[in-house]
Amino acid sequence: MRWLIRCYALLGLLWFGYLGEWRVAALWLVLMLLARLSLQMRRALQSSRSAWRAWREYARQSLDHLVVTGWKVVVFFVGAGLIQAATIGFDHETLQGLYAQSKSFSDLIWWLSPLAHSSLLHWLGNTVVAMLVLVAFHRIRCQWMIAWGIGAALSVSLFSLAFSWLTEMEYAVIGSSAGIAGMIGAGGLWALRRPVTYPPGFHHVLNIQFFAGFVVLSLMVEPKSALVHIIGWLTGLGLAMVCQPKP
Amino acid sequence: MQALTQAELNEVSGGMELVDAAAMITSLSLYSPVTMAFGLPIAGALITLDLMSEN
Repeated sequence: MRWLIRCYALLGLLWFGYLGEWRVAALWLVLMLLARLSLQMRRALQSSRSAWRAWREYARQSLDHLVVTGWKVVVFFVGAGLIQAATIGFDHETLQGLYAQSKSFSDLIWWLSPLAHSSLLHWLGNTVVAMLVLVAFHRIRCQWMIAWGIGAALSVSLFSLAFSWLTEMEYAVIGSSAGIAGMIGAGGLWALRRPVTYPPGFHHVLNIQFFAGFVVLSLMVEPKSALVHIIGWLTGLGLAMVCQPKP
Repeated sequence: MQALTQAELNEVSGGMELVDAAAMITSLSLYSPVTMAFGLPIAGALITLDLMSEN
């Protein structure tokens, strides 16, 4: 597999360099380093029979929870998506106009922004990730995960509104990804504090995956999006430090 | 609704589209070597599409 990652690294460097996107090329190399790190961690886990058995057992239980928890997440997001489709729709320009005119905390649209998505693809991506994150942390009560997610998402909305006030720029953050990042940050800390409940290296694996997708990849095209994810993750971490569920 | 100028509209940006799909695919692809083999090129292709659509 190592040679394949090297090939991807080289091809990405040549391709994005050819396009003149050197920042993206550099970030692509960072992504390949993370992929290699992930492989090394997997090999280390495989070398320990007990660790690998714990992972397999955890993955099997997660698969069961995909049915138990997954459908609830999908129903919630489908509901939010249908309401959005029936009211403001998924048209990008309409959404931009809506947020550009709302600059007050009293405007409900700011507080509903974590539920709004800019396109069907955006909505679908967040639905799948939210479902998988909740399933991955199935040993934490759903209520805690949801509370951490809402806390992180609303903090980012608050930050976005404060930013638009201070800089007089109309920058709106919409989508559930900040809340999902918050759930990963909070859940990761919880997994770190309860090593017996989780397989070895659980929080490392999840944080590598989060950092690769939500930070490095977002930085390639939209740095503001990466900043929002980091703020969400840090808020989730902070919330988990303050509000800890009982074991 | 109050009409906005194009400059005002351009200043506002919402959640991403292809980038979010690419981010999701990248995150999931790091799970195992097999998912990496398929997921990383797909993510690269989506980034390329996004970059090209911006130009």
